[in-house]
Amino acid sequence: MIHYFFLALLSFGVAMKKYVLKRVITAIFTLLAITLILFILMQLMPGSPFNDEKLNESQRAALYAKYGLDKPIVIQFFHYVINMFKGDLGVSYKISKNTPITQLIASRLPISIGVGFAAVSIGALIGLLLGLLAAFKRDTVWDTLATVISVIGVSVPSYVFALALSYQFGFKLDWFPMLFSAKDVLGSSVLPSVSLSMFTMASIARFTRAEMIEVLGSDYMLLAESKGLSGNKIVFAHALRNALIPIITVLAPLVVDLMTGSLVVEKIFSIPGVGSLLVNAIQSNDYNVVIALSFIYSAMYIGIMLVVDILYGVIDPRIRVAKEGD
Amino acid sequence: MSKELLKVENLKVTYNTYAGQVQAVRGVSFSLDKGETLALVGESGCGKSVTARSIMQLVHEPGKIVEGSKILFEGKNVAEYDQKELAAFRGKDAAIIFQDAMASLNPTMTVGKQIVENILHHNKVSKKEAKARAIDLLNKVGINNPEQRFKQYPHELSGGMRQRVMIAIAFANDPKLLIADEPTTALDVTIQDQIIELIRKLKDEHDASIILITHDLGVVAGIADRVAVMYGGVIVESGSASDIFYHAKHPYTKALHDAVPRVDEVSGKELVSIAGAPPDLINPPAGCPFNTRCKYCMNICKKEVPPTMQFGEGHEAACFLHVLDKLPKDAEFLND
Repeated sequence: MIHYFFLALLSFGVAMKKYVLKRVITAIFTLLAITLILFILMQLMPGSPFNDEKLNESQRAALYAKYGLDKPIVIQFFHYVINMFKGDLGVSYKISKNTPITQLIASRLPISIGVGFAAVSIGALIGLLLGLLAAFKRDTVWDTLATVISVIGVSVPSYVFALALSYQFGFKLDWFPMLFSAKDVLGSSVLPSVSLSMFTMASIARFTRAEMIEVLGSDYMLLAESKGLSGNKIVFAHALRNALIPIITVLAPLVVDLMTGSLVVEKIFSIPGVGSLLVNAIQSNDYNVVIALSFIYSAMYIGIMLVVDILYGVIDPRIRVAKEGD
Repeated sequence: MSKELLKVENLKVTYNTYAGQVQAVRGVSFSLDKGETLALVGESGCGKSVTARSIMQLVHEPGKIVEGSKILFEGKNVAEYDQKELAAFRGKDAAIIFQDAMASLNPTMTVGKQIVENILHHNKVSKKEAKARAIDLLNKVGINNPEQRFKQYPHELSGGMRQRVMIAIAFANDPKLLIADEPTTALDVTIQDQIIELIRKLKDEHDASIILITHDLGVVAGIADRVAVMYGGVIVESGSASDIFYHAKHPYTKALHDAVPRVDEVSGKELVSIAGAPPDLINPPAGCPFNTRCKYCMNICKKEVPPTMQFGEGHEAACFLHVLDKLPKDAEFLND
């Protein structure tokens, strides 16, 4: 996919580059707006990072002054944005006192992204295969089996899978470590990734089945068949690409959801990811951590949506032309 | 010239639906000679498209060609072809053009590739040669700038051009049989003429036979040698184009003629239509399928299937109106 992406950027020429640039600029303003809203919400939240009963009024005021929290919110916002452009996301007030947020996140974000990426990859791949199987073997035992797996995957929460997998493959069979360890990142990521992938797998499988059945019943498949083509040739040359377009739409938000970490699954496997960090930060009013993480989530969302939009153009020529005219 | 290319015998096709089994085609027989153009005429749902698709073995679930149906192409039964024979037959011996070119061309593949694909599948040629042939074909079907069009996608072409691309695909491998399933229905009238003219020209150049499916008698007049009129899943009348146009025997054929608006008629006159609706093919009516809408319907028409009567060479119609003298004397004959 990635090389397609760059190929697309090259081949689309000036019009496409213009489009991407336009989208990036829009994204920057969107992110600024999100940051402002986060600031206002933080202010409205009850409590403060310095709720410790041992602190007296003057000490608290000193702390506020130290971190610049005594200034009007607009000033705080501008300070924050200016620092952000310099790559400084502020320091933590509470969780890990005075540690720069960048440092705090730098160690955790890659872990969450890694586990999430593995989960999405597994889920998308198996989901796609399962959906195709169900579509091609429509109304057979395979179809029913795929449907059952999909329903289970969609309806059972990931932490239930996490517990079950951890018990079976971690504890009883001892194939994989039950807890995350920095020494064996690959091995210890298997169980959390698999448990997180179930929902993606099930959603993609159901979608693929529906899309594929629609494509297989289309007139252009009939024309392809009338040329004497059959089997794999038809599926790969004609069906898959057309079925893929809507599937990418569903996949995009799932990617972001998983890459930004899951609190419960991170707790079960004691993964030092960002999911648990965010919850801790919210509980303790650690403003900068909350804002920084929310900002990163938003940036990832917007970034992935942009990638998806460009991918649409790669896969569907009809969308490509519309954009070039724009 | 008069050698038989295709012979369809007692073709029956059913579709299993929740409402019941639809008998879309209920015993159709006809033959097609080399170089001949046969038009299958009838209104929507009469089974003409299904008949066409059956010849290419393109009837899919829930549809089924009933066992015992024979589709003899050069004497061999297409229904008994194995996968390999079918892959060689489709696109090479027989090609099909569908009604809606927009839906029938793959939206995510360039038109050039869709033609090349057909050439490469049936010929041992390099990609370069195939491309040259495809561009030549595009030129032949009357598309300007074929090199540029080759690289374009279906949505970048006009409706007429898309239909021309379909024709290019169909003629890519010199087919002996071309099935054109309502090739002009989705186009406006001026383009319709051009497309029919193009099909006729290519047919002569490639020495192909054509089965043209249409509900438009105007289209038929321009191109067909013979015409078969279908109604309710059966052929009710067949004969040469002039037989059908000037000596129609079946009331349905006559009703179709009456329904064609005429240029020389006084304007402001109401358009004629055939009253009623086509029969429900889940429970086809007993007797003649047209009995519910026929102006001349008699008691016997509701009980027995009319026999096929011969009128001169190759002209047949299945109607009791023409069997008066052959009926038993005590037959309940007239309307109540």
